[in-house]
Amino acid sequence: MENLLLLLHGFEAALTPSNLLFCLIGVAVGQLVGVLPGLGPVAGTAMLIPLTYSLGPVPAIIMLAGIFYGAMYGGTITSVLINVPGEGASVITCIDGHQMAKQGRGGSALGAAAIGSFIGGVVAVLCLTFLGPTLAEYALRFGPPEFFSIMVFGLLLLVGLIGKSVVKGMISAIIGMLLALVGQDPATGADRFLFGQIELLEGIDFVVLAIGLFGLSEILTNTEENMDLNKPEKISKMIPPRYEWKPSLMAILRGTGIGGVLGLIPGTSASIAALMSYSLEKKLAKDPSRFGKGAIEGVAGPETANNSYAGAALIPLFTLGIPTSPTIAVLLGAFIMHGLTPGPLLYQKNPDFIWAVVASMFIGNVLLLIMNLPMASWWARIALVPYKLLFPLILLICMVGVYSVNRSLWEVGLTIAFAAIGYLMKKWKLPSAALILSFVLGKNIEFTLVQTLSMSDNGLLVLFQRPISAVLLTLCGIILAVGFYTTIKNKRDNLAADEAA
Amino acid sequence: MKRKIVAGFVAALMLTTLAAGCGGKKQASEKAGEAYPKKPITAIVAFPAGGGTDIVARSILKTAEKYTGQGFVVDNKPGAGGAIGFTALAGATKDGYTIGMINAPTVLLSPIQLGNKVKYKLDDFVPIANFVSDPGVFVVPADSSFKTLKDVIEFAKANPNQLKLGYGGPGTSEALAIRTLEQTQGIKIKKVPFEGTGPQLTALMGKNIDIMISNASEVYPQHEAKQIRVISVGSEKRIAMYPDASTYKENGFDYVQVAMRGIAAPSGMDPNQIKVLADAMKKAYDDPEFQKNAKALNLPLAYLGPEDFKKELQKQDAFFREEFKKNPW
Repeated sequence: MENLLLLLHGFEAALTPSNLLFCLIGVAVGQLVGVLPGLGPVAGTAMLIPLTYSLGPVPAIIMLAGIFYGAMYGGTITSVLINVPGEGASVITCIDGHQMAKQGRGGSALGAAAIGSFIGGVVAVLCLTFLGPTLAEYALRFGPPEFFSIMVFGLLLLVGLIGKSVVKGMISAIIGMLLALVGQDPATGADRFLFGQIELLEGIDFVVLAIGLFGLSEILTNTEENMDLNKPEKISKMIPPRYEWKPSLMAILRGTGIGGVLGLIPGTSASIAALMSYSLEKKLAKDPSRFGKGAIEGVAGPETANNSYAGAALIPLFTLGIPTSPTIAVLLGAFIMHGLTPGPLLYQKNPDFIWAVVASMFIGNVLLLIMNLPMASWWARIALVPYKLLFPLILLICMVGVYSVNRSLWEVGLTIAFAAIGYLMKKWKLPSAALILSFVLGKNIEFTLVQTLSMSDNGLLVLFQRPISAVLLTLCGIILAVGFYTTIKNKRDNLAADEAA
Repeated sequence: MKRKIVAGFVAALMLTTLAAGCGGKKQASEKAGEAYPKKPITAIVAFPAGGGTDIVARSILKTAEKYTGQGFVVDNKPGAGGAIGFTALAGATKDGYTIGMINAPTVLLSPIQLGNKVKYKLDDFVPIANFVSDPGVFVVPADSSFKTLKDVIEFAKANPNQLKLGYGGPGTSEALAIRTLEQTQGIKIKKVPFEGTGPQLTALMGKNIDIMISNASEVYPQHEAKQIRVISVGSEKRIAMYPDASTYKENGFDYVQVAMRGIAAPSGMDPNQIKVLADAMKKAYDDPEFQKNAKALNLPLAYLGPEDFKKELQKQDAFFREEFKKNPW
């Protein structure tokens, strides 16, 4: 109850005209960096930090936090319309979102995503208000073995979304794992696969890989096709048709839960939240074959999950002073720069600050909903621009986006190399989503495994001695067993059918 | 005879050119000295915006503007653990308008560890000033039974391979400190690598590790909130931030572990320009504005002028090279 009163005071502070303006600027910039491929929330927040020097801490953090959760809304738009994920958490949205756009249902996809994002975002902020400190303590129980198991679980879910051919999916996933090996070995510090290039020491940047593999290669394959015929249908309605409401709403609620829980756990990422939500929706669907062909749950669920992740990820930052993701780490830097020390004392030492920021997040989410529902049809017109005008523009934005991350021309070259690989993968029908997700998971799996083994008394056994990890790994086992059983059964049935014939 | 004349002629010619050259140079530099700096100076930071080094750079340069009369433009060039930015600084144009932050021992370790894959060496930099010396710290959970580093060493002696310690990963200065600790005290510890202090603190508070090694400025908020305790510091003397924490040396571990953050120019830059900058940096360091900001940011300050900074870097470089020769990491 006390928190509620404090929150009301926070609203008072957040609703002053200047703070309201900074909230609007923040979410608008966030939406923009989300839309622009390559410019993710990390780059967006980092670039605007210098602009906040002259501001007080409250408007500064209101604005920077706005960029962070605003980007989660914006990322959807390019994924759906042109199959280029605006940021990492939207990779999975491409699968069904772009199909929907091709069928002329792009409006519904964007509408469902905006509504889902709003619900996910608001629920996460509610958690931040009332449960923050308690939840953060609980999340501390996750150690390296738990992270390892959760990542393996994620990898297994990935197998479920690989596409039609399991073999091709495996090939993609393994290439992703191999790419994740580039850089320093976490156990010994030895450098691997640098080919003499010091730029590779910290591994391949996610943005470089995503833009090359998805963005540029998409443009390459599209330009081969007849450019006049490939235009998407005009987007009519933003509100999904009535029969899609119920499945969307259920997906949104489940996505909120998944994103909220994962956001609390340091070391996870919004991409994993989106991935888990997608596979859950696919598993629960009556007709899983719709997925990949424009299922609305495949957009609503993941898009909600990445938003509630963004809100929940602020809980460990505010309450423990621990950043859970790269963007949050940049935000932590901004806190420190403005003389605030995130951590348990923040609630006691700077209550005015914290509640004003929390209140501004409610307001920011409302602003984003307004910006996205009526305006998404405006954004959607991007897809109606003739490709010969749109493509050079996207190419330019992609290149500038890559360059802006580390200001390195070398990485622009690497992006072009990945574009060539992505193009060939499309030709050979190798799913690039599997590659990129296994790349993200692969890095973390290796690192957490090294950590687990270096702290364990009895090797891998520790993974089964710790309850959370043991449960997750058992689930993995069950999923695998069921998978094998159905494959074998199908094969036997087929054989039987052949013999009968 | 003829040859002698020619030789004499050539010598005379060389002398005149040399004199002319000197004169010209002197004039040019005097001119530059008066007007320098004429335009904003770029400062390369080899780490991302918002990181620890970036914050130090921006706060000192903001104050230094008062004394140079010109602004500074921070250019973040992150990557390869700082090596990208350090390489850029080493190869920057020497016209006096590009300087950069250097972090010791990070800047020293990469060329030693990675050999000729790294395209810079210590001689490529002219140190201007050091601002921050952030000592290493050993940190335990607030309710841990360890009170001093000595307790930890004794426990590790009695229970080999039991103590779980979180550190920044192989090849870091922390790894070197731990290696020396193990060798000199004859103990064995389980070393768990982490990426950054945040995840380390999470693991420590969640009791997934027993102890961690980090830097003084990075654990202050959690220390203030009494979630963790700093039990030992790697500086020569105890520091004001953690008055109760004894030094490594007091605990019988003869080792100094300090992360330094300072500013340097590419070598070959005009010494007069360097002097202008060095004076401005010293004044900025003493300025109450910077001192106030540094206090708010929990930065452990330690000023070193160009000469002292250079000597310190050379001393550390020699030490690490020796260690690497003994046993590469």
